[in-house]
Amino acid sequence: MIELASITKTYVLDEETTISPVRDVTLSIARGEFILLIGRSGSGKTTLLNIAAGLVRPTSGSVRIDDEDVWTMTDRELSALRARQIGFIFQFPSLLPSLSVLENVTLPSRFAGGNRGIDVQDRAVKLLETVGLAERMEVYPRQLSSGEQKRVVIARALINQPSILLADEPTSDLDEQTEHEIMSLLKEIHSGGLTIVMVTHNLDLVTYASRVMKMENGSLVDLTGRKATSKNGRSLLSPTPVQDTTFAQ
Amino acid sequence: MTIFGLAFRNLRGNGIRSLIIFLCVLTVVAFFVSTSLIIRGAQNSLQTGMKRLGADILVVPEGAQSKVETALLMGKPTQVWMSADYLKKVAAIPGVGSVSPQVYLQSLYGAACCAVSEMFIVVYDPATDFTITPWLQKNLGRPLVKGEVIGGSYIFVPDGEKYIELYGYNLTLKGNLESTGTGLDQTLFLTMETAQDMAKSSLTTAISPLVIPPGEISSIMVTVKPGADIRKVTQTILLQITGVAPIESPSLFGEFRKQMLGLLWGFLAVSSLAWVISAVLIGLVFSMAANERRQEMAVLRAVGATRRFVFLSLSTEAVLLAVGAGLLGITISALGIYTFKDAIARSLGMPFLFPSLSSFISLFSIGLALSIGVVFVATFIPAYRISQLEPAVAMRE
Repeated sequence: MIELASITKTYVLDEETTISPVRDVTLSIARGEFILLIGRSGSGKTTLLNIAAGLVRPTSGSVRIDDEDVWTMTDRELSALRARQIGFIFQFPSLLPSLSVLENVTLPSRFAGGNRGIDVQDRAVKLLETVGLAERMEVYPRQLSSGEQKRVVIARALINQPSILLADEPTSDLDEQTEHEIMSLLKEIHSGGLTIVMVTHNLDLVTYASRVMKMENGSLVDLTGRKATSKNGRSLLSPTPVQDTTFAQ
Repeated sequence: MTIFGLAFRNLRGNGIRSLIIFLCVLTVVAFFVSTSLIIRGAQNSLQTGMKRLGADILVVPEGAQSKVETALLMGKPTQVWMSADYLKKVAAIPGVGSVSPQVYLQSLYGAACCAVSEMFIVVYDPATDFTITPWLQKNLGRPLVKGEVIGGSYIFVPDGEKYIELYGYNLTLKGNLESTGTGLDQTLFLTMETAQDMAKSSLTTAISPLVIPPGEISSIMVTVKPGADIRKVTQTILLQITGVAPIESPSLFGEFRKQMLGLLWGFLAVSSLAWVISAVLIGLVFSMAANERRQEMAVLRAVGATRRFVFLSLSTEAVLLAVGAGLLGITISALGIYTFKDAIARSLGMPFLFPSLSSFISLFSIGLALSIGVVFVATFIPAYRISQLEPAVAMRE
């Protein structure tokens, strides 16, 4: 579904300094997967996610979505692809402050083009019901808590019935209870067949994923199948969140 | 959600930025339209006044040009005299078509008869006149008889009275000429017969008698024959007749026109400077506000907006502000100038006649186009720059 081949991203800071948050990364994401991308802050997780979404052009390598190279597309084609196929959950508060909750949720449908057989208002209301905010669809983002805003963003990401959801730290800055609610919601959505790639630095969340990848100094390590345990020896497959997680090599 | 809907919502959501840009445009466009209206009003007034006189050349006593021009332009009464013999001399000049004498008089100071206390009175000769007579034919259908007058647009019969009383003599106002914005609006027009009768009557009825020197006139209105060169005829009068000063119609009010031209350039310079300063200020404010909204723009791109949409969305916000502020600025200035036109004309010492509808529409369009153009140019670079940013870069900054 998404093929990242030999991706490198280098930023030139000045004539003598360059940094490469992503180095020669190859990743193949199949339909229906729930991939967790973990790693420390600054390890390149977000950059890789942005590259996968076509939000940043890699310095080298290719990004293919459904066998189409996204960087040979025009801006219009790439934008349409983002609107139709990719739902994005940002790390930062990303609702447009001048639009109501309902308008924020329906906004991406403006760019998806055509009717596509979706009653946008109807679907938006249903999605807001799913995330538990149907009663607050007329309010503005500033009237919502951080957790509520994140839930609205999830609803917005799903409005165009995308085939893939890219989530960048969707549970950061949230309390444990809200984090659990959001993750349960993502799990539920995933069970409906949606592909999810989620960036997090919270190792407790690996229990939700079908595949775990780790970014380390710009490179990607597949941790799937490795035994992941907490310091107190509990299995990460336990539904109970675990602290101080480590992976055995 | 349409691009206009989104832009409108964003304007409301960015109140301070919107207000600053709105006020900038409003102030500059109001200044531009006000000054342009005043200048155009003065030009319109001059043209209408000159048309009203209907003469190709105005011949006045030598040295009296300025006095006569001021009287005609601002309605300040004057009395200048020259021999009526000049009438024949001027008529004999090759190229001259028709000549008509006029006598300039003034009412007594503080006369409670009309809108202005010192009234300029023009006495014309019905037999030769081509200034008032055509109007009379069209509107009254007959010439004035003894005791009848017509006035400029500001002349009226005092409340409760039937006549305008001048020098103790009752005059019947038979009509008012259309407004010209010049001194002609404050002028009373009467025939030589009425003037002589009033002068005779004033010996017994007025505090100070009206004196019309026999055989004297104040000016000669001249039209040239079809095909004759006005300038050449004027030069011939100047060369062949001593003691008089011919003023060709296009040069009438020449001194005032020079002053007005200076004023026009001054206004133009100030206005241009104001537009440039506003454009810079608008660009800075817009740029700062747009920078603060980089993440919003990045989100728009991420959910499927094209670069073009982001650029158009930002530009639409700017244009909506420009249109709103432009319309309000033009309306305020036009209403202000229209309401206070007399006070403005008095304080600036210039004639004023509100421009015609077509002229106002063209000024309205120019003002609106300038507002939109300047705001668009000022906001083009920041809008374009942000629209071209990679979404991921915009998100991180």
